[in-house]
Amino acid sequence: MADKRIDLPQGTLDLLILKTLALEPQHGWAISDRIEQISKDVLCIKQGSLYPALHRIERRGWIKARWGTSGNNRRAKYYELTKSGRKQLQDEESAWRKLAAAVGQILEAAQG
Amino acid sequence: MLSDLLYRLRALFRRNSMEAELDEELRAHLEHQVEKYVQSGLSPEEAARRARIELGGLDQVKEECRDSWGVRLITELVQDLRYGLRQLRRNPGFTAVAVITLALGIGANTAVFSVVRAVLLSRLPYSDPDRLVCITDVFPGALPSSLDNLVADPDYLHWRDQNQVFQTVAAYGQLRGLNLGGKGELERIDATEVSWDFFPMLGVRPVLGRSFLPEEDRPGGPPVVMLSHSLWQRRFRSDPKLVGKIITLNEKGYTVIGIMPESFHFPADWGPELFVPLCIAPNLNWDSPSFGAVYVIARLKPGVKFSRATSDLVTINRRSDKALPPPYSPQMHDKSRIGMVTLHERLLGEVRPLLLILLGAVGFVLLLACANVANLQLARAATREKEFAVRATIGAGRVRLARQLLVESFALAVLGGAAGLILGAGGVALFRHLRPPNIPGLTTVGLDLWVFAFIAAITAFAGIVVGLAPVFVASGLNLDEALKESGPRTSAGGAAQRLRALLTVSEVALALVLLTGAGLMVRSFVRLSSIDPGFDPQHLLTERVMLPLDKYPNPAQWTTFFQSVLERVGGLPGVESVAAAEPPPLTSAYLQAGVEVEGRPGWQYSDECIITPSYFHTLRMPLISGRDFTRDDAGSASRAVIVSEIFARRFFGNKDPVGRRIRFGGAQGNWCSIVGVVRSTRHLPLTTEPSAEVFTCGTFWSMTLIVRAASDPASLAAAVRSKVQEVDPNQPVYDVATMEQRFSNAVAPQRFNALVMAIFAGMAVILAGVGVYGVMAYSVARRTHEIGIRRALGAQQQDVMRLVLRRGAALALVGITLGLAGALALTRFLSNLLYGVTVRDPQTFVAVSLILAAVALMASYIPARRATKVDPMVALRYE
Repeated sequence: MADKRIDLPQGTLDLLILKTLALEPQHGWAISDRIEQISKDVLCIKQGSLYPALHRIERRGWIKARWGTSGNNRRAKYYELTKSGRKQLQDEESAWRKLAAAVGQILEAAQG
Repeated sequence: MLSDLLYRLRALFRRNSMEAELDEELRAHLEHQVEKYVQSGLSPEEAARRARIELGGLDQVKEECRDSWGVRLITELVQDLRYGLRQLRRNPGFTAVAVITLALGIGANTAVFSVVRAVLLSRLPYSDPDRLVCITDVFPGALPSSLDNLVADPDYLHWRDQNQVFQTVAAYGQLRGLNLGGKGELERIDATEVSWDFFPMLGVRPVLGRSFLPEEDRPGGPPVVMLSHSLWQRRFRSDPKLVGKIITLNEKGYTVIGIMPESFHFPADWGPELFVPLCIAPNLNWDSPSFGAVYVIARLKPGVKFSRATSDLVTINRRSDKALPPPYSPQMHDKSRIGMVTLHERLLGEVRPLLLILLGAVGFVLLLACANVANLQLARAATREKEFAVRATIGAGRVRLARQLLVESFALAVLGGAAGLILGAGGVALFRHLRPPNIPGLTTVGLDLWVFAFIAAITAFAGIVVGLAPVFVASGLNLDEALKESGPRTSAGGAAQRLRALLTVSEVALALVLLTGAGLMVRSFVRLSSIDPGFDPQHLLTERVMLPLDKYPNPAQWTTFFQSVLERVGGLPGVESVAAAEPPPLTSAYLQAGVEVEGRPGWQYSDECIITPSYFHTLRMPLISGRDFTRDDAGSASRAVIVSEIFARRFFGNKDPVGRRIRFGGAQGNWCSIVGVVRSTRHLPLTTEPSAEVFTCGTFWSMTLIVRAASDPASLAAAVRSKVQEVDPNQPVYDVATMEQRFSNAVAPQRFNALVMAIFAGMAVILAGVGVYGVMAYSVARRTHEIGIRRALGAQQQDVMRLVLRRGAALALVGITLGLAGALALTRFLSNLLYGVTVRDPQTFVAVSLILAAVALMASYIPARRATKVDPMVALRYE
């Protein structure tokens, strides 16, 4: 049976993570759970790819990590946006919107 | 950026805590997920299973996370390095040989490069040294090569006053001695007269006091002196109040006006320690009754080209020739040439080729060392085929394997480089100890940043060269083959064997080139050492006395002084005979004089030598015709001269010159009769042919006593000195040396060249020998099986021996042929350093080829013998 969900374009996972963390600091599982809930039937995101992405973004300084306690009293690694992360989110978001709009326009025009 | 770096550093150095956090983070994820599924009604086992599947392989996720940390390359390199070092430790024999070999190559390069760096690559310690030039006259018909020529005072003054191209034209005199008296022992100190603008032109200021003033640099100026830093330290214990005080030089008071900085040496580290003003009369000209000669050094105006400066000077010379008074020839100066070179060229022109050749030679040694270690690596790589194959099958990529080999080679090279650094420091010490003559700036040789950078560069080079060969072979490795085969004597063979043969052939070729160079140098040295100096140098002692002209102004006083010294020394026990001469044989400071031969128009240059009557007897120089000087010839009334064989041949052809007349000093000179002809003697440098010489009988203010001793001449030195000081207790005696020491000093440059080249060639031959041995031993080991079969099929021991030797001989032959071609192409760079042999000296070429062939055969013979001992049964069972 073929999975009809689409693979995430390269680099988009970072944007989704940053956006998720923009609301509040979260730990890894919560991030993956949230993204999954929202995009459930459309996007195919491997949970395993989340952590390398988190570590990479942390290295870039867009998020920082601290250990905390999750709702059910478990120790968990919480990530929160940094100042530069916020800036990065803005940039990526607007770039994404521009891209989406442009692609959309071209598709429209080609159809018409 | 900074946080990125900190993160990576943490990943490198707090690895364990990062790993622990990663574990915990992933565990927390799984627990959350399991909890979610359990809440939705799954069994705990099923929940755990699904959570794991959704996360993906745990190890793979972890590996990807580690990739995100951005230190993968480094951690892998560290792993490779650990693994490599473990491999090296496991093979201590191989490691030791490889490290020592590389250390030899890198050490030799370090030593030579330190010298090159200090001597050739450093700027002269004067301001804007590129514009400093040395100027000499060129006379018609003279060779333009001699840069050591003095310039007659009038020429110097004309250049100084009439040029349009120089900022300053300064002058300094020949090195001479001044007797420093006062407190402490009477000591003769090297001194130079300099024009007042000499120091300002060089851009050097005294650390204490001041430089000379123009009014101090003229006849009758006040007696003032400047001291070198070393003399100030040594004799005056760095007295800060010395400036303004009076010191005694040649029994006369001089006011100290300045102390030079410690770094100041001129022209090189063996320069003078005292400076006094030159004091040439400002209006001196060719018609002045007497004048001296100086070395001229000048600073070009900015932007003035060499050619323009030369033509400006030539124009001045032509103008001065037109106004020349008799007896000078109106064509005294060359019409178009002048000798002008940069100070840098003057100081280093002769040293540069030698140092570059040495640098080339050690470059060859390094290549040889690398080839040798690469060869060892290849042999080792062959025995490690299985190891590589195993690693490849468990997932190491080819790139990773190649990197592993390169890292290992780099580790070897770095170990070799570290050891080479120590050897190099030792080499520098040895170099200084050998005291190569005429290389300025040796005192500044040391290990500085440049040298370290150089070592790092050649170490990296060695690492790459040594590592590439096995990488090349390993990358051609057939994994299946390597795993299937059982022994170490297998596969990947062709390429590796060819590469090893190629390396060995190049080693032999490189060694042959070096050995040829060394052979030519050694033969030059031998040739030069066996030169007949024209006299019997054994049992001769020489001591120099230079009378201060202030105290001994007239020639009669010189005669009296030397007469009584000769009488006293002649009476010493153990003295067979004694004479005095200026200049003595085997010196470079001879006097050139213009000579006119009766019946021949024009005048010629000849060396002039002033001697006392027993000179030829003392030196045992046979008279070819005529008679020796007698006591009656001594003194100013004498008109007798003796000429050398070369003089006679040049000016009189085959006719006997005895009875003919010559005169010095132009038309005003007196005619002198030639009374005898003697054999020609050698002067310095020894490599120059003897020149025409005229001997006159008399005394001079500066003379060298030559004593023929009955036995050991050196033991007479103190006695001779005391006899001189009986006559004048204020007269120091210096330049005390036996004639054999002088001779030995005269061949010192060639001895140094030969010795250093021989050391490098020796290293090269040993390395090449080891290389041939290595490849032959390995080939015999590989072919044990084949040899066993041959033996089983009836081959005799000598057949096996021949089989192995033939291969060794083939390698050697190809190597020697290539080496000979290389040597033929390269030895021409040695031509200036050779004496008495041509750059293609057949004897040398044949000899070095035979030596290398012998070494290669010896190196093949040991494995060949081992091959003859192969027991067919054992070899076949080996399978």
